[in-house]
Amino acid sequence: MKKIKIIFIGLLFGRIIFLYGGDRTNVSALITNPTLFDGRIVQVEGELVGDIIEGSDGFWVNLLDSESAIGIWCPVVEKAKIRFLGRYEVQGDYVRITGVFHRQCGQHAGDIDIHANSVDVLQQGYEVPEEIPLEKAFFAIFLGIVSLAAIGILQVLSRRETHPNG
Amino acid sequence: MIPDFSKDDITVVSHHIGKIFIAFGMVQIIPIFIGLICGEISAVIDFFISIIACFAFASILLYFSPYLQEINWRQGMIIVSLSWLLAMFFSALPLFLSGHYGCYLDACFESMSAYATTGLVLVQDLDHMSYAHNIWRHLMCFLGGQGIILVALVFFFRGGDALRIYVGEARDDKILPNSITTAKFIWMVSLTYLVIGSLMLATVLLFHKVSLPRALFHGICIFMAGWDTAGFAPQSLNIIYYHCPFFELITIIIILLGATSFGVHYAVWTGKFSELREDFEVKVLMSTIFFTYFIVLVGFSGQASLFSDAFSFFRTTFYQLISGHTGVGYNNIYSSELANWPELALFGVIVAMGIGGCTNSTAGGIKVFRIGLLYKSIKREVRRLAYPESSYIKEFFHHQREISIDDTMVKTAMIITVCYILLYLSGAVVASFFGYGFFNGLFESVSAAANVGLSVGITSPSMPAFLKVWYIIEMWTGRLEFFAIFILIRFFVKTVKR
Repeated sequence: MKKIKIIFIGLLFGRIIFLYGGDRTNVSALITNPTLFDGRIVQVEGELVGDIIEGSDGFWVNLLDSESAIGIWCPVVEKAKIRFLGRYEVQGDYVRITGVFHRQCGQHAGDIDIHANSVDVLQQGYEVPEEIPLEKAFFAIFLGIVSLAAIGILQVLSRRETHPNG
Repeated sequence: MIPDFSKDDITVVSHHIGKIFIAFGMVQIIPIFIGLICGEISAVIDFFISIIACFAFASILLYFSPYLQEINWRQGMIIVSLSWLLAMFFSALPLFLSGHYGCYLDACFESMSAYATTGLVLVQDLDHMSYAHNIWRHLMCFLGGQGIILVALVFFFRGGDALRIYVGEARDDKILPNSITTAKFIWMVSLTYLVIGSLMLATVLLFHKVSLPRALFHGICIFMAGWDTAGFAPQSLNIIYYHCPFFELITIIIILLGATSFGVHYAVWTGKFSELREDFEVKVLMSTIFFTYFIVLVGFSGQASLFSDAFSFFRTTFYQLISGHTGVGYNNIYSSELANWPELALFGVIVAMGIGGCTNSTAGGIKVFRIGLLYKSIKREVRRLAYPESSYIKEFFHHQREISIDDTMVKTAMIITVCYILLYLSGAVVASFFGYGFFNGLFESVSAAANVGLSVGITSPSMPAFLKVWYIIEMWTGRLEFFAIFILIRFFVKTVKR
């Protein structure tokens, strides 16, 4: 009986957390079924990429999950949490956004967006050292030498044909 | 009897393609420079390989094909169409080496899309692409919009040769008496606007506290792809990324400038501002924008509640329409949203895309000039039937000067229009064959052939390889306006037969 109670209480709390936390989904589901999620609290996870684009009372940042990206409108206070934005050689912060999804945002001239209530950094981003594939570098050097030699030979042959006596 | 292709034709064509590839290799110094500044050594190696490939190819062609004679018309056409095809293969090399493309075909698709200023993309993980590769994607749009060969024209070609190559690249207007000075003028206008437009876009981003280097990077990329009506963007979200209606407004101005004939630009630059009001093409462009937007509005009747307010309705629908009409293909909504538009509204966008921008601009499609000409010729025929038989009916229009419509002009416009319509339909049939549905297939096909770049979601790395190849052919054929391609095909058929 005690075990059943624990399971029941666990399920109840789980449901409350789920309701409070919003529908956990992904960006593709939001943009392909915007009407379904319009005005609801949703939860998405992904990498923050690009730039922070500041507005009057908040800022924009774009979140990329495995397939698609979406604009997140965040309160100013959340800005301090963001340290890395995904770019070339930079893995952006991996975050969980909880906020209200808008199919047509009234505040932002009809944008499809999420107004974040909270930004939780699940994994901080980092700089990725550039990897130079050795085979690519060797191929470039080899190609360079062969091509320069070929161009040189063709130039010499071409000159000889133009001036056969000298 | 039509003279057959000779060995001399092959020599002349090879020699000039060799020259073009020297210019083409030199242009790639720009992404190398960017790569060095940003410390992107891997990207620098990619472009180094590509430059060497271009120079080696050019040297071989120039060695085996010395200069023989001036280019004739058909040689000019073959040089242009073949150069575009070869440029696609060579430009795809650094893109493929970047690791952002599933296969070489995807990289070729992207480079043809850039050169033809289409804007359909198959790039993966664009948000993590190097600056050098990203600049190269947009630079290809900039070169393709003006005409790849226009680059070489300024440096490597003589008067007669230049004219024949200039015309082969689907430009029939010499703004100045000589093709080389015309090419120089086109570059001067484009570079001036590049500076002004990029700074304007960057300023908007600076206002939103984006860092200076990033703002300049975005400004330059968006300008190059916007002015050349290509529609590439440095981020996967395209214009949605910026979340800024004012930024979109600036892109509309840039797009409209890009879709306007260089003839009109020349008139305005030389102080003839009245040309903006009087030019036949500008008038037709405005009329077709209003007409097609009217179709979109009718398509949305009773569905205004889909939008939060009138401004967001106008912002979304007008941007897609103007983006489609001018052939830029920038989108401020997702492909999936566009695909859910009412069919009549989508039809309005299809018509707009099919019509395209002005001749001698960076835009694609049938071109408003031809649509206007066909309208005027119908009007002339109606008047001819209504008036007594002895009457002589003339119809005029103003396009930098007063021009009287003649039958040859109408016939040429009609042939090209029919070719475009057949090309649009062919892509729709091919897409239907792969199960995408005729209507969506038609949208995507018109977008590819008219060099637009809007998508209802068909174009993706996972689409069938045959469809990718078909769209490449559509983009190439649509950009060069058929005749150069037809002559190239004839050249190959005759050569193979011999």
